[in-house]
Amino acid sequence: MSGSRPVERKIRMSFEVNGEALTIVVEPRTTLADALREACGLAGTPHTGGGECGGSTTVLVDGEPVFASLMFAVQAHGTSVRTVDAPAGDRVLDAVRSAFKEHGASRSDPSMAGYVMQSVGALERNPDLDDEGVEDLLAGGFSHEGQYDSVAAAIRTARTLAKRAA
Amino acid sequence: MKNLGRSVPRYGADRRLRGDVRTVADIALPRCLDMRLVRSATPFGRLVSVDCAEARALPGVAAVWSSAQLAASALPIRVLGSGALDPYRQPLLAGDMVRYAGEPVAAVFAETAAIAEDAAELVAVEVEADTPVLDPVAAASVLSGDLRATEATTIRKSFGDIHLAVHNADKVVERRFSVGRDAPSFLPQRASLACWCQAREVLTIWAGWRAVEETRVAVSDALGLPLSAVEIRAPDIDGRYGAGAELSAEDLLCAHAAFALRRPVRWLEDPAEQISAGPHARGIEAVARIAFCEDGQFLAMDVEFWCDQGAYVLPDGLIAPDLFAAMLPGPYALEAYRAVGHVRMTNKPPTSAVRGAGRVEAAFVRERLMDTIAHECSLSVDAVRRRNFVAADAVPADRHVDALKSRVSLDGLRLGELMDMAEKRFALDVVRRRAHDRRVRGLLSGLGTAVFVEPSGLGPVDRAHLSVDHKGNLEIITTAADWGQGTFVAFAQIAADIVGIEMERIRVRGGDTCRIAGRGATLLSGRTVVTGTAVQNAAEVLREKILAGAAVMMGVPAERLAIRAGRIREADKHFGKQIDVGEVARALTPGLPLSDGTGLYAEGTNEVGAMTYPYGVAVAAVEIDPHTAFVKVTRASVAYDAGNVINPQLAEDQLVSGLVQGASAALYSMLDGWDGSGSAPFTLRCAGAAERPATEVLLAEETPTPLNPLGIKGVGAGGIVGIGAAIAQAVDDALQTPGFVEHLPVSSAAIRAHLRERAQQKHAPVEEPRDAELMI
Amino acid sequence: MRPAAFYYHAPATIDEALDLLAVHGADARIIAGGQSLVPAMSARLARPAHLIDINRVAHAERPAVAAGRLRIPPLARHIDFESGVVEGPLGHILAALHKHAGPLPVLMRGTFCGAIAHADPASAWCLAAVTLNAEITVRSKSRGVRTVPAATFFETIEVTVAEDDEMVVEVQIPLPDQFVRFGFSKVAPHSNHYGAASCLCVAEIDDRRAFNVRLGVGAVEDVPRRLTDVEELLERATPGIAVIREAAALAASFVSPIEQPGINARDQRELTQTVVRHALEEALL
Repeated sequence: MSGSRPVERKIRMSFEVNGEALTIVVEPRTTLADALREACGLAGTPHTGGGECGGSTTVLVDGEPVFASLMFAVQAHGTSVRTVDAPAGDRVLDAVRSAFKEHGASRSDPSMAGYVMQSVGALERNPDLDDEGVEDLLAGGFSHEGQYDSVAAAIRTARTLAKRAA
Repeated sequence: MKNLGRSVPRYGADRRLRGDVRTVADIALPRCLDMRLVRSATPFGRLVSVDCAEARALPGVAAVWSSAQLAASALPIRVLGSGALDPYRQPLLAGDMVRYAGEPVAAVFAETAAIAEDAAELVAVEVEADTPVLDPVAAASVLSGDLRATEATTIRKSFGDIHLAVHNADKVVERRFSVGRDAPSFLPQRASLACWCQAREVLTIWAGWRAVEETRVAVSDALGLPLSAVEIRAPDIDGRYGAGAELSAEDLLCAHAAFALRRPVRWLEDPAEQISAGPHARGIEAVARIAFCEDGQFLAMDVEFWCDQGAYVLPDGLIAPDLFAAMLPGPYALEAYRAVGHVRMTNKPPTSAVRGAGRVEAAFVRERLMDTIAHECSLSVDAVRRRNFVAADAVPADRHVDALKSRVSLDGLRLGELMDMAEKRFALDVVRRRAHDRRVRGLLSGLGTAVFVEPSGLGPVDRAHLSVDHKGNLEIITTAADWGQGTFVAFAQIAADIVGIEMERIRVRGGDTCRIAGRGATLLSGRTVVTGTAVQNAAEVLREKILAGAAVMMGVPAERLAIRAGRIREADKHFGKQIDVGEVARALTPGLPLSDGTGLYAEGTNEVGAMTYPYGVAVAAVEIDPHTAFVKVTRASVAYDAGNVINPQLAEDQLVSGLVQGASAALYSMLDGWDGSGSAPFTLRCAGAAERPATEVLLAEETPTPLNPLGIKGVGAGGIVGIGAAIAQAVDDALQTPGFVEHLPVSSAAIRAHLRERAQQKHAPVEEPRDAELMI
Repeated sequence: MRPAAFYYHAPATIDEALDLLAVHGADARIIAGGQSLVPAMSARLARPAHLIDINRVAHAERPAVAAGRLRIPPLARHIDFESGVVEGPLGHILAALHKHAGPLPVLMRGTFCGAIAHADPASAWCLAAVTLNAEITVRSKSRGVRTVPAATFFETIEVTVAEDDEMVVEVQIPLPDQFVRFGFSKVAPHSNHYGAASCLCVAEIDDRRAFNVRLGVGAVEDVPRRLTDVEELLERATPGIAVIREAAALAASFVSPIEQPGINARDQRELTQTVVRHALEEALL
């Protein structure tokens, strides 16, 4: 630990969140997950108390699925962020949501928010995601309720739905 | 009956998919302070000083408390508590001693969570470290430097004459088994938010507890407030089967601070705290002496066990040891039984009740003992089980022991039939043959089963209020909160069928003390049993009231009326006059001639006499990698008879999640590699998606309970209770070594050592014939 | 679990980043992917006063081939290795290994060079760097550029020879022969657990003889390491089950395992034997 403690200095940053341009003021040490929850008022990304928990804090930054708890908000300046709170009207997200609902892969498990966003990110990168890809996605989360089979089925259905909607 | 027995989706099932959640962390109150705890880094020692001066000086810090700022206050012991246990209650902040690494020593209240954490680092804690007690069995009677006896309490349960049974036995065998300490499941973290409203003189708390009313009493006692000045609100609670739902020192600290500082205070646990400082679970070691006959008849069990209770007895801390002793005989008819349980204090985080508390451990020890008898008598374990089941004609069967002060009495047990059903449904002959074939090819493949009975639907009482508004919408208010398991929709299904109203018109609320007072604890499983029956009672009263009102309004005797889809008409007429329940509700408005003064409203109470006892057969198939000795559970199944099932999908989801959780816990502990000294490690040590077993569930519905009119027994822990025991037997089978597993979680290191030994024997110059060859 | 406060810098060039490092030295940390650094900061195990974010540095993302070497710049993410970053076997090897860096969100954000700088003994990238004879280029303002072979770059768990003011600016991996074969194996008690042992082996096979054999073991010792004695054994003999068994046993006897929770040194050796055998079977048979 160095002798002098850095003085808190807040930074103004702008980004687009779920299609809306936002300017917020954050401390550099605020993670993107905390900023989304506390500065943007979006509850969808579960509170994890810092750190990554079972993939639950996945969001899309410029289309790329990343853990919002493992990057600082200031790093997202100038980007476009999409979260599980996004309104309906997004092709892949809509497909994923309805597939998760259909397979009962929703429940109350906070990791579902992460699985939804990881699935959106993966299906946008690769609409033909194969079964190995589905297993890889499952491994990126931790279902407190052990609902892996329904999540797997949901991702496969989402793949079909998203293609059909394209 | 068109809703009961149907898989109606749970309410708000898709809210997580839309970010539409309001957990404690999502409730933003103006001027809210974040609490951060300074925790002891030392497991045991005298607390010399806590210097908060520097922390208090940090800008943004509202207050820093040590025990000096807090009047002596400790958590209550809610279950099986007594004055004698007072020295074992956990203080909110450590006083003279620290007794586990992670124990709260000081609390910081600051404008943001980050500042609170900065300030917490500035609190200087001085501890004169002493040698911690880590082994509950070997613990001395009094810890040096501590004034408490090491054994907080002794649990004793017995029936019959042990000496006579032992005298009559052909064989007496002693075995030692243990279940390791574990940390409860990982997500989500605990959270608490308290707010004092000076204008109303009311303290409002949002927290996900299971025993809302008891907690309310505890808070009012701790703060010296009238009970009516404490309100508890249930936020969205994410399915949480860990001990996180227990009233904790942190919760009471939030309440105290909100009251004293006159500002909202919240505490959001972080993941590191959850494992290093949150309640732990399990941790039981048992020595069992069993007496049996050569034909496999199980005569007696004499058990001494030690419980690694941790540093304090938590509010629900005695549930696990009590249920361990109560449920150890399980479904078997014994002539005599004696259990003596030493609840021992160690310098580790205190333990509490997590899913399957005491029963997971009991099923493991008991089924291991059945294997022992089978092995000693050269019988199959299934034959020994069937030989000893409580006879179906002896049901209801008094087991002569109490579980949480309620007499254990089995209300319907057809385990033999359930074993047959499981055998067929899960194609166990095929699985068994496949495992055998794989072993012949040198692979380590095995199948194991376990049987168990499960206490469910613990009372003593639960309540429900039903009312119909002027538009004909039915509201159900219960004391129970929905934890994500979906009980609310089950309540709605019960009310819908009894009242005769559509599901769409029903709304369910619960866990909110402003709307309803009274108990409503999710202890053990069976919320649907206890609260559901209260809902049923209320629904019956409501139905009578609707019919009586409609009879006057329609000029038709009530007994000739029927309610369908919320409309009342003459039962034998398909046409003619109909009125809606909303019209009846309007006519019954207090003040109007038809009203009884309460409106269209009914209360239901369910005073529980005895618990229900569902039962099950757990099945596990395992593969052991011969090179690494890592175990994989390939299949985990449970056949379960919970009587009538209100919502099969909810029941199945509960059982599957229990299977997955139990299969992970049987192989890995969150505390793997923790020697008990220092802080518990913060790592996610449980199985992930790649390890998930294929799961299957069979809901038998063969023995509806006579204890409630719906004939329902609880489901909650049915998946987890037997699966560890089944996995243990499957590992034995894979290794073809009866009685190999003596400890859960199953140790890969032990298997590796065993395989090594076996390989050495194989290469030994004089080769003994192998078991497998002898069997041919 | 919120990081201690820090000053945030977002330099636009490597030179600017090095200027900042020169000024702040031990008080500063470079952040690229941050997939290990952010959790460490959240737990306050790492508490840099200055965080130098290089994500806005231009032209630092694309791995490229030059003079027979794959040159990996500081912002090449794990995912960039997903489908053959280069033609030929090196692309295949790196594609096979990239997944071991973590789940998709980690792959999207984490960087190859960051993993090398972090020096986790269980990292597949560190194992690859050692086994494939990579060279690591570090730069500082005062001492300029130096290039260190991977074999000597890693000192111990999460410690490298890079000084406080130095930054990993490039990793270079020589392109192997186009007919080189490889095998990789990793074992762990379960998927959420650290790897307990891993092995990467590359070799050329000609006329039933293996040559240019390189065999590295990771996660077992404090740094990934090539086992040259085992390589020599393999080069002397005709590849086959017997020699693979012998090589695996030899590898197990050579390693000095670090402490891992729940796994003793003897078990670690046996696990090493298993991964070496699996990797060799994949590479040679």
